[in-house]
Amino acid sequence: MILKVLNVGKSFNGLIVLEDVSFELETGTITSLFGENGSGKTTLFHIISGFLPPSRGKIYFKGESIYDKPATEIDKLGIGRTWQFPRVFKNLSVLDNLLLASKKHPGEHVLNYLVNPFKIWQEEKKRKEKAVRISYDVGLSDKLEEAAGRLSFGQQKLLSIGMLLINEAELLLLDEPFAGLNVIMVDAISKLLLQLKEEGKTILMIEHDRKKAKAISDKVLYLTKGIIREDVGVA
Amino acid sequence: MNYFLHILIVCEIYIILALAMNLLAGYSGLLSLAQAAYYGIGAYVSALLLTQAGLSFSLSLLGAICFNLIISFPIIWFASSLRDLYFAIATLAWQIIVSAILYNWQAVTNGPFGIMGIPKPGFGGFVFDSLPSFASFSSLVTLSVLLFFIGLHRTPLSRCFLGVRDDQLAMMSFGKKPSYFKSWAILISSGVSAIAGGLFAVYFSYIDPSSFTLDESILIICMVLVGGLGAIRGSVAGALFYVLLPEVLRFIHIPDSIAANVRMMIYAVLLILVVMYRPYGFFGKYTFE
Amino acid sequence: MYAQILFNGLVAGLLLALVAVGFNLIFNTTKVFHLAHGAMFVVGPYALLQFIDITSGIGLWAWGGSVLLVVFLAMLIERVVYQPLARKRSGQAISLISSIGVYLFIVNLISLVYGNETKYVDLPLGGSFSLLGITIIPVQLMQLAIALLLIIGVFILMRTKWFLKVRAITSNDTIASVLGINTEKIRLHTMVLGSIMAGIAGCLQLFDIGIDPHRGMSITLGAVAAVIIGGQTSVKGTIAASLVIAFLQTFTEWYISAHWKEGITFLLLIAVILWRTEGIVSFNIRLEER
Repeated sequence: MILKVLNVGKSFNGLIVLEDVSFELETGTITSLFGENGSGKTTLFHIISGFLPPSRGKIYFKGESIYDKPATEIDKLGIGRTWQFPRVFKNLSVLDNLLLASKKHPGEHVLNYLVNPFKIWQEEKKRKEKAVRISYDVGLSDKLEEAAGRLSFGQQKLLSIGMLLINEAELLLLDEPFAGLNVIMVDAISKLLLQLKEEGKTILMIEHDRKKAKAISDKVLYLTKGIIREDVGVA
Repeated sequence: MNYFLHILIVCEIYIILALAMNLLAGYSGLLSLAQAAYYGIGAYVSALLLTQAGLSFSLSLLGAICFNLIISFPIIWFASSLRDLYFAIATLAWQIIVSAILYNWQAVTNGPFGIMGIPKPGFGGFVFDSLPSFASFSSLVTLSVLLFFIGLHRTPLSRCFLGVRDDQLAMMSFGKKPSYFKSWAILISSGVSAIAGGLFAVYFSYIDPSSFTLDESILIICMVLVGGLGAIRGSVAGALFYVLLPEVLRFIHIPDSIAANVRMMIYAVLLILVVMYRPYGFFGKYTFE
Repeated sequence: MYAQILFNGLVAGLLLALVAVGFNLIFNTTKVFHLAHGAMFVVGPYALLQFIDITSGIGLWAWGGSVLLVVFLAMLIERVVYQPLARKRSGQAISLISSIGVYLFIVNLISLVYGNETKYVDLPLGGSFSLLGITIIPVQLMQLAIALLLIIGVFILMRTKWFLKVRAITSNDTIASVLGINTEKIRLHTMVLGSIMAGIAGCLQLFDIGIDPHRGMSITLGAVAAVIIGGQTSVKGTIAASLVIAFLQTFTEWYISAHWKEGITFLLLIAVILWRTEGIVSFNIRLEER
């Protein structure tokens, strides 16, 4: 069990969005989260990834409580997320996008330039190689120098998944990975997600295309009226 | 010859300022209207250390840089809690407060009369008091600043500045604190502005508050915008353009009495045209949204 | 003593309120951070001076000409600069910069033509007199009367259907235009109206402490402070904040020094901005969920 959400509730100024949400995710599985528009799916993602504080409840990631940790800390623990509208760095190249997503780069800290600049360049080279490798995995190897804002919607979604990979996230929260994409792109992403599952990553995704999502899911969660209902073994 | 050396030195001072501004506006997306405040504080602190404390130029400049780093805290605070327009307004207010202090804290700044008799810099007995020697000195300083920024551009750190500019939430979701990078951009920028201020003080050997007003801040932003945000050569081109334009006006015999106004009007029209029709400036890689 | 400060503050505050309410209307409908408002503040009086020269007398013709010029200029700025930028969906930083450009252009044009020295107009209203221990200059009474009249005019306007449209655009211009409100027309209206208020405020200052081409910026920044402190969308809040700021400035002038009054105004502005605006994250999260 990698993630455990226990009795999480969230309300905005008295408006209850999440009533009482509890579920668990096993390591190396794909889980789909279904629900009506406005049922609080994205809010749940914001809460797990630390962008919104829950009103109550408990969240454990690998046994550690992440209830009140900020987003930056939660990422360091190994939870990565994508956004409904892919948040890529529009003016930067695909390569730079991937490099920015990589974690704990010594070059991010100003003092390292004074203490050990050599290590920064070594690390930078290593990470560049890794970024290129990942660009092959997500099928963007021929776009490395292209500005991310110029990519198509689907390519931006692929890129944001690639960014989670170089980020070494163990739990991937994907917000509508299939929405707005053509059949070829959906198949490509499905294949990529199954491959990631083989590699031991855990995936939780919000999706409206139930058929496509169920085809690759181990478990399905329904979020209605702020409460989670579970269906096991659909796949 | 002396005329060209003078123009060269003025160009260099503005190149340094534009590069510092570019790190804020072009790299980190922070439209600060307080750049002239840091330029001015740098000039005043180094001038005071030179004239009152009798320190050498390098020590005074170091002192000015350190002082600017400390006094950057309001901008850092604004950057961490305000978004674009409100950040701009807060920095504008801060610029006016600093101007008021320079004008009115007479015991230290000598108010509107300014500080006179600032000695020229020197090293080991040699003083850069002739125009050619000072020009080579200031060129050396400017070149080092330029190389510093070119070097910075290639580091992973500058990539993080750009990331903060493009999408702060995404930065957070990858474990990076936007405020950390903004703070460093602000610190580096105000530190570098102190260098420009120090050069200005020793070159003219006289400073008064009128050189460091809101208008000057606006002028620096104009340079960076016309040159293009986020590009080092853009900042250099913008600074050159803005300093050389009035000299061209002088050649076509526009009388001195109206030259300053004509110059500002041309700047203003250019600024509007750039914003409307060429938001990326000459070489820009980014534009405000 | 206090009564004198209160009276002077009241007059200054109402003048500031004219500028601030104008800024408020323009900012809320066009979303442009209209620093060129300060240029309108000086265009008004300089046009008045010019028309006094032409018509050799300060009468209806001079006032009318001055107001007409301000109206023309406001429409020009809106049509040539702000509206095209709005059509391109440019952000507030861009429009702020364009507005600075407009300001610089107009102010330098005026200074080119008329020079930088301060201009006055002496009205034959007689000398100052004393009332309840307050020294009153008749010009101040005139300023008070005209400013009050204009502000009452704005309150009457706020009860019209037209102002409902302004409010709709203030809260969401996209929805307003979908609902069939001609946003471009309303933008133009507020631009004109706001500019007239700034222009008249400038003219009123002409009879008192005088005008030079660079006077506009500091009063506009004071108006910005008033609008933000007063809560941005509220006209009443803006007026109240203008009065508070003017009292504060008069007090500073009286007890500390006239030089510090801007510094103190902007310290207050910074405090209010930091206190009132939300953090970056909460704002973006809501954007995401929209």
